[in-house]
Amino acid sequence: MKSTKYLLIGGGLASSQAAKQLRAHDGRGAITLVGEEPYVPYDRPPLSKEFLRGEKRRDELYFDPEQYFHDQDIDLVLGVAVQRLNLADKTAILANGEAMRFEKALIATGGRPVRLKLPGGELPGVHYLRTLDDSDAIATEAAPGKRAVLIGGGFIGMEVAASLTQRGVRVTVIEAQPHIWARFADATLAGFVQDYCTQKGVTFHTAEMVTEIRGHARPSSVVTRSGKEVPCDFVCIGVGIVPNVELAHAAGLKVDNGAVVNEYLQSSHPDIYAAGDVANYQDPVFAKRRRVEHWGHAEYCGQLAGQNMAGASNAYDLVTYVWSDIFDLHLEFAGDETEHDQVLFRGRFENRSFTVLYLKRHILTAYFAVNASSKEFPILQRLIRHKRDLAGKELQLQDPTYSIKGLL
Amino acid sequence: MSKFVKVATTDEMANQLAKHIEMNGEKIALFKVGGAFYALSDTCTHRGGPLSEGDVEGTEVTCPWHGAKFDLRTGAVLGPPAQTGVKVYPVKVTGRDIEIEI
Repeated sequence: MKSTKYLLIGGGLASSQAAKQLRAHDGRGAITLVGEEPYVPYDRPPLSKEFLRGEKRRDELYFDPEQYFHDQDIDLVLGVAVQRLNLADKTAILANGEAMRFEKALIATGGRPVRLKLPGGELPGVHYLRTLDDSDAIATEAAPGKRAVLIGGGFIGMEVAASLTQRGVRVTVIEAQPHIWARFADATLAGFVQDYCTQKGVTFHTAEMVTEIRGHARPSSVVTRSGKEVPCDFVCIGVGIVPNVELAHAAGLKVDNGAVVNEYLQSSHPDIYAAGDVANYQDPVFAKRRRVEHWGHAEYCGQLAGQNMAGASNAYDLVTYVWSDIFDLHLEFAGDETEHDQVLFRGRFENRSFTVLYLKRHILTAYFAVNASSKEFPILQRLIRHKRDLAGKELQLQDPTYSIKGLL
Repeated sequence: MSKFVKVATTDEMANQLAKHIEMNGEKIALFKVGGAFYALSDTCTHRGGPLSEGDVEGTEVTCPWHGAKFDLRTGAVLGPPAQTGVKVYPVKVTGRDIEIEI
């Protein structure tokens, strides 16, 4: 039976970061990274942006060339999923039938798109976006003049809407909620982005459910509950992901909306760690359990897990953040937007440069900056982290000429 | 051939500690620390944040987006999440003119 000291399950950002930290902190221990996709770990954010628009090539997405893994003595097993973990004798069974013994393992299996059960939902030309191959398939469809229907106005949905529009595709977004970004943005901010995209040529149908995708060999139209029929040449569905917890669950690890880990990213078995989209972790800043699907969190978790698997005891300590690019709007977001009872605007909508502040009981919990000067981000992050009481400071917070440094 | 090009004056930098410059399609951040000037790529190697808008402590700049730290003198990474350094440009002050080699 093959054996490795560290087994990294999943071929994405978290695993790739863990491998680097493991090698930095343990120069000799055998590291094996097993990924279901046939590619070396790559960067997913460009899949809805630069790669989809044809501005970045495939090889520019790889975090490191294959040679790097040889040089670092990291074994890659690609195109193979881990099928089962046996915790009693610490072995993994791979989809190719191989068994591998390990000392410590990282579950970084990520998530997979929620699939909509719709008549016509399995037609060729109905796409989901998660992988390089998915993005490639959408890019192949994206010829000027083609008509696309995007189901779901989330982060990825809006990025894809913008990128396809920039490629000359006529895009219609259908969103079940009254506005886009319903999961994380308030109606005003979402309305601003929606209006901006409308000006750029995107059509929106909000508070609309898709009931059917019509077409014979390929989609020809999408039908909504209110009876609209939107003609199209292809469809992209982006309605969120579910964490890939099956492996953890079958192994008997504690699973509750993700693999449950402590602040060191250890699961209910001390030698098994979890990181990234699949981990349900204890967030020290917001003092609650969270499962975060953002790039920066996956990067950070991968590093932390790698350090801790190699013997460190570093606790999670990140103010989670995310960014997005939609046409020429650059958005930077940090914190936990689900916790707020007050929304303040800093800057002006009409200048297309502003920051939306989310507060709960006068404490800043999140900010969402649109084309704003980033000079204030570190201060805002500190206000979140240190839970400064901002009662009575509402006017200052809304005045972009006021230096918020004084609030720290 | 690279050559020294004027990008600012010492008068202009009297009241500011950093300036964003675009030259030959490159984005450059010019910093003033004490009486010394440093020029670095203004694109963080992590996710592209503008270093010219970052906090400077001594000769260390922190990217305002996600907190990566770089050495103004060498461009080397001093703190995560960035893993590779940024390009540095030689700086020369001639009279009041601040020039960088590009």
